[in-house]
Amino acid sequence: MPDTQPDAQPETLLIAEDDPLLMPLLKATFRNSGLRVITAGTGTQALDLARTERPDLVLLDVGLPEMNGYEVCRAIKTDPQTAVIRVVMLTARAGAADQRLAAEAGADTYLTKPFSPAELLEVVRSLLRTARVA
Amino acid sequence: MVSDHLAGHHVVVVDDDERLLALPPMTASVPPMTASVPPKSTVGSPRTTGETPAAWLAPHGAVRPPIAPARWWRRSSLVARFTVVSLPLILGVGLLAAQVVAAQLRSIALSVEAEAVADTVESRIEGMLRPEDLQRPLSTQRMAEIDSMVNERAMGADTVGVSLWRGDGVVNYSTDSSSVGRSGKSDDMLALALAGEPSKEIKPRSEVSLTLAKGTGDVMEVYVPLRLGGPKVVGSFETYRDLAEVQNRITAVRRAMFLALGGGLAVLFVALLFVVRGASRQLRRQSDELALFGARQEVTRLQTEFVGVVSHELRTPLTALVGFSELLLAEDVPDSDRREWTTLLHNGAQRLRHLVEQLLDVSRIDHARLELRRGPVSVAEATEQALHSIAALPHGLEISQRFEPDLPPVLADHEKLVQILTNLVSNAVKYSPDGGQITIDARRLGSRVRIEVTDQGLGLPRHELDSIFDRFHRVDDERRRTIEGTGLGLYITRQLVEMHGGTVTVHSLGKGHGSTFTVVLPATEEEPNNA
Repeated sequence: MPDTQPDAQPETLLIAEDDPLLMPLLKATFRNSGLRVITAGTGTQALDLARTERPDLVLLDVGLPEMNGYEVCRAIKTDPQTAVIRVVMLTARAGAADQRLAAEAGADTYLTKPFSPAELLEVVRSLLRTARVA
Repeated sequence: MVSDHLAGHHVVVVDDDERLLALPPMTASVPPMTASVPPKSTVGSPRTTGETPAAWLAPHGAVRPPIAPARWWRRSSLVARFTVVSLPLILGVGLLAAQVVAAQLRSIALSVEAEAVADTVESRIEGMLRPEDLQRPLSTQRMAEIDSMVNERAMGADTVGVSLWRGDGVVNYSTDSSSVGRSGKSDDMLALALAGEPSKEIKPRSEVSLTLAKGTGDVMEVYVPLRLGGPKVVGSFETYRDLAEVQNRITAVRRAMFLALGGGLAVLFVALLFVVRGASRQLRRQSDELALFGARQEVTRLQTEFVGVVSHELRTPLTALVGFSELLLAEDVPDSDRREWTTLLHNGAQRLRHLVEQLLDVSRIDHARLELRRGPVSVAEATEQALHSIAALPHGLEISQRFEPDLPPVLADHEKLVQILTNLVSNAVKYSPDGGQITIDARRLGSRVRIEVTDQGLGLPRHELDSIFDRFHRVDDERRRTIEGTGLGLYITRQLVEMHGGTVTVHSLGKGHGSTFTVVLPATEEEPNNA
């Protein structure tokens, strides 16, 4: 069920993921969401796109090459121009350490692999809703 | 939020025998208390179950024996060090103390002796003398009187002579009659006595001017001032004491003292030795405990690392499996998407299968549960099978084979040789992202066969060449980061090759210059059976 957004530009989602299996999965998950999806394969590319495209939300894999997800998140959240962007971290290992790192980097929330597409979709939608209200 | 089934749990998989097979680091045993450094022999056989954590870290002999002949001090025990330091110290201090005490004793003994002589003179002799005895030379009769008086009253066992000095410093009477009339003006001790101060002097017997009656030891000359009731000193009575007896007594006391002191120090030393030994043992126990603690921490660290790596490697394909299956089930999917997703789902499943197989291999290797069925194997045939198992080659990559004609078969487990070659060739493919040539070269090397897999890929920096075969080791550089891998493939490869009694080595001309992996295996003259 696509988001209904009358009289509005579609919201933009940036997916930053380097794994050849997960990138298509994430793209497939959001293909009918009504969001405009842009993608990045490395950390620096993700940060560049966050600055130039100003997406509403970034899905950020932790294990990105060049700049890891935490670094990218910190850079987005400390730059006043991009601080408003919502960030969802995708971590590969659960546990207090990753949770803490994600929180410290300023992520809005995080999901641990393996996650279900429906769940991810729900998390993203609810974050975008709160962003619209705010 | 997704619940996390795997975090913090020991990863346990089921092997072919349906038995539970704990993955290696979970069971890596802690070394016994006493062996804080694993003995070299156990390091040499990393496939034993009681593997030490050190061996886990670097199973290929990275634990080296202590370098350079360390100095005695560093190697010797605390007790030995204590002995070396304290024994000379205790002996030296003891001897010095004994000497000082002996000297004091001697001086006290002599003073006592001199005082006794002075008492005798004052109480027994002085009253018998008349002022004229000290004024002019004595008559023969008076001389005889004094002689008998001296013999009777002053000549104790140790008195070997006396002289009576006049106030002007001349001998007026002496047990050695030849000395009468001699002047003692230059004698400081006499001068002291004539000034009213009793004095004494110890001389070797040979330096005494008097011919002495008897005795053997040194001589103490005791001068007692004589006042004869008057206010002024009118002369001096000199007594020559033989010190042999006193010296004997002093020697005896000294010996007793040395014995007592020596015994005391010996007891002290032994007691300290026990204390030090006890402390040393306690210290060793504590350091053993510390080492054990360290080893446990190391095991914990390895377990954490293992769980981390495995969970990361498990989670990614698992995410693909969960995700694509959910998408395929939940939605009305167009055919083109369905095909693509199913392929990706399959790829994820393959990755997962590969990981599980590798983990099982590692587990079997580390628990010495991997059995080889060795026989003559054709390298060409094994290579063919290995190449077959590698999926379509990426664009721009070519594989060529150069086999020596009449290459003898190797003595190997066919399946394992295929696995070894598959690992090496798929690595070469994986790390040649820009394409190029991969060459598989095999030739006879005496009674062995050498197989080389050479690529023109990313290559390896020199410092990586040693550690590349270590468990979980992955070369970290920019271009490799996107290439997936567990860091287990080369570890397994090396273990398999070594189980065959072979060797595997790697050469690289450096980063960007490709690499060559060389496997050497024993050859056999038997024909491979194609059954």
